[in-house]
Formats: sequence, structure tokens, C-alpha cells
Amino acid sequence: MSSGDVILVIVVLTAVAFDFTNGFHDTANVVATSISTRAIGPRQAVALASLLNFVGAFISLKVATTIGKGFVDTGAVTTTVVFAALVGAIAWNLITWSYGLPSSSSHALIGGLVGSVIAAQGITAVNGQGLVDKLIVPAVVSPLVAFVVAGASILIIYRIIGRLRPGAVGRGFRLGQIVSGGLLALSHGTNDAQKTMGVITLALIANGNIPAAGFHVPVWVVFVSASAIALGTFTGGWRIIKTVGTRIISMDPAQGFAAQTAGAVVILAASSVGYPLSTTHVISGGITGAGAAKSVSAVRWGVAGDIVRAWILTLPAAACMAAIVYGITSLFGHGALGPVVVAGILLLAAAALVARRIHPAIASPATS
Amino acid sequence: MSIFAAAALIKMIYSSIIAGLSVALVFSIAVFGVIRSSDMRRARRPAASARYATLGMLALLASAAIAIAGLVLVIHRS
Repeated sequence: MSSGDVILVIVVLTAVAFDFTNGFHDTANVVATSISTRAIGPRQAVALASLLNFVGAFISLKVATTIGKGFVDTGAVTTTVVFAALVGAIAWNLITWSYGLPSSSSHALIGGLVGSVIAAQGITAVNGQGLVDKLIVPAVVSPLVAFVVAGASILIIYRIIGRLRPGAVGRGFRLGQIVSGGLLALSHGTNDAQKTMGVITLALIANGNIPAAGFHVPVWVVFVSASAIALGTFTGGWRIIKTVGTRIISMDPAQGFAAQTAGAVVILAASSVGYPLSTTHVISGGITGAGAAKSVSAVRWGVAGDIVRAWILTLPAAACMAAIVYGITSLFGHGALGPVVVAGILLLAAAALVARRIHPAIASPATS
Repeated sequence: MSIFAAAALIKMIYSSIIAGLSVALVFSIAVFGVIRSSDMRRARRPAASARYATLGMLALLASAAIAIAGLVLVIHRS
């Protein structure tokens, strides 16, 4: 096994780990509204979301192609660059997770890719037009579309069912939420799992396993990515569920239905044109729209502001982290030693962070 | 932004708006039909109950049809 193959194996394992953290981190986006309106129990919601995330990953490959060819010069990408991008994205995901902020895993990944490519080859290897057209503009527009669709939907819904018995209406929309939540999970799998597929395929091209001219995603890559995101979703992220589901706004089932439907249609429409959207952005836009249409004061704008700040920070922060990781990896030369050392450090750091989150009393003893 | 990129973005926007509002409208009619059918049955008005039940069922089928058609379109385009 050559040094390149060793790095490739590490990259694939890191990509799978990223996909797992993506599912883990984004579980909130998919299930929070269903749980907060009691449309479905937490365990069932997470299990259903996990299954549909897996299925959704097989629906489309357009987003994977955008990740693989749309943002950076494929010829400038090496397996070490992909590795640094993934580590930068994972580090940012873990930091935002530890603070309970639902920032975007997708933007962390793309930010990481851009940062590591700049560190390795300079800014000329970045496709600025592609970043603007396929990432930044859709990233700004998609939550606004979800906001408008959810807001207009809830106005239509209240107009039609406004004078009916609230109990019966709530039961009806809770049933609807099982379907709209399912569609949201499916759309999440469709868009998010493809980002990992794109990155693994980039690494395969960089290592010479796939010709650069014939970009295609191998079936095993689709299966591995689908499994990792589904497992991550199943494992869940309870802290973030609390932020998205109840801290932004207290919802009724009709609002939950409107928010989830808006999120699902925006993500599916984006997947069909190849945009790697953030499901976090979109569903938060939907939730805020559904809340603001009923009562502007019902939305806790301070929490929404914290989330927006995390979004704005994500691209540059992940890019800086990936660039630093690339620099550290390069200190060990161009062989497999750098990625091996950094992967080891990442594993230890992640284990320490998770242990601190699970057992805070052990990590920071009581002061009283 | 290039014309091609703008066209894809506009397509995403109008697809989302049409699909989202259609599902909300049709599913609300389904909930309305089912609840009014139940109210009419309690009021011992079977003909009105049947009419509302039919409306509710048709709207429910239409909701399912829109969701399935949307998914088929996404798969087809991909």
C-alpha cells in the first residue's frame, strides 16, 4: 500500500466521520418541530428521520457533482487537501455543537475545502464565481424563500381552518407533520449526504482512482455516505434539538407543518439544481417564518440572531481551521505521517470534548 | 451572477413557492373537510357530512399526489 493509499483510507474514514457528525449535528433540523409539537415521540422521530436520511441519499447526485467540480480546481486538490478540509469542518462542527449553536455543516465543509486549497495552492485554485453562484447566493436566498413560503402557508392554513375546533385541527396537523417531517428528513439525506460523496470522490480523483475528466460517484461511496449520515442522525443531537425546536419559537402543529413543508420543498428544489444548501439555514428560516406570520413578537429574535452570527462565522472559521490543519500536516512532509498524526490528535480532542459534554461534573468540578 | 446561474436560482425559488403553498392549501382543505364532516355527522346531517368527507378525501389524495410528483420530478431531473 503506497503512502497515497494510506492517506486515501484516512480521508475516507475522516469523511465518514464528518458525515456522521453532519447527521448528528443536523438531527435537530429534521426532528425538532415534530417533537416540540408532540406530533411524534423523540425516539420514533429520530428513527424515522434516520431511515429517510438513508433513503434520501440515493435520490440525486447533482449536489455531489457541484461539491466535486464547482468550487475549486480539481487539479489542485490532493488527498491531504481533502483531509485538511474535513478536519477543519469537523472541528468547527464540534465547537458549535458544544455551544449548542446550529451552524451549517455544509458551509463548514465547503469553507474547509476552500481554506485548505488556498493554503496548498493559493487563491487562484478557488472558483470564486462558482462559490458566489452555487453557494453564497443560494445560502442567502434559500432561508428567505423558506421564511416566505412558511409565512404565506401559515396564513393560508389559518384562513381555512381558523374557525374549527382547535383540538381537532391540532390532531390533523400532527398527522400531517409526520409526513412533512418525513419529507424533510428525505430532503436532508438528499442534499447533505451528497456533500460527503462529493468530497470522497474528489479524494479518489486526487489519488488517481477515478479520472478527473470522467467525474462520477461510485456506488460504494453513495452507500457508505448514506449509512454514515443515517447513523449520525440516529445518534442525535439533543442539545441542538432544544435550541431549534423551542428556543426560537413555541409552535402549534399547523406552524410545525408549514415550517417543515417549506424546508422540505426548498431543499428538494435546491437539490434538483445542484445547490449544496444548509438544512440548518433553511429549516430555521421556515420556523421563523411560520412564527412571524402568526406574531412577530412570538419569535425570540435574540436566539435567531445568535444562530445568524454562527452562520456568518462558519465559512471563514472553517476555512482558517482547515488552512491551519493543512499547515500542521505539511510540517510532517508530503507522506502519510502528517494525516496520521492529525487524525490521532482529532480523535483525542473529539473524545475529550464529548466526555466533557456528557460528564460536565468530571471535567469542571463544582466550586461550592 | 451568470444568466445560467440566475435561471437555476429562479427555478428553485418558484418551484419552492408553488410546491409549498400548494401542499399547505390542499392539506388545509383536507383537515377542514374531515373536521366539518365530523361536525355534520354529530349534527345529524349525513348528506353534508358525506360531502365534506369527500372533499377531505380528495384533498388528502391531492396532497399525496403533489408530494409524490415533487419527488418524482427531483429524481427525474437528477
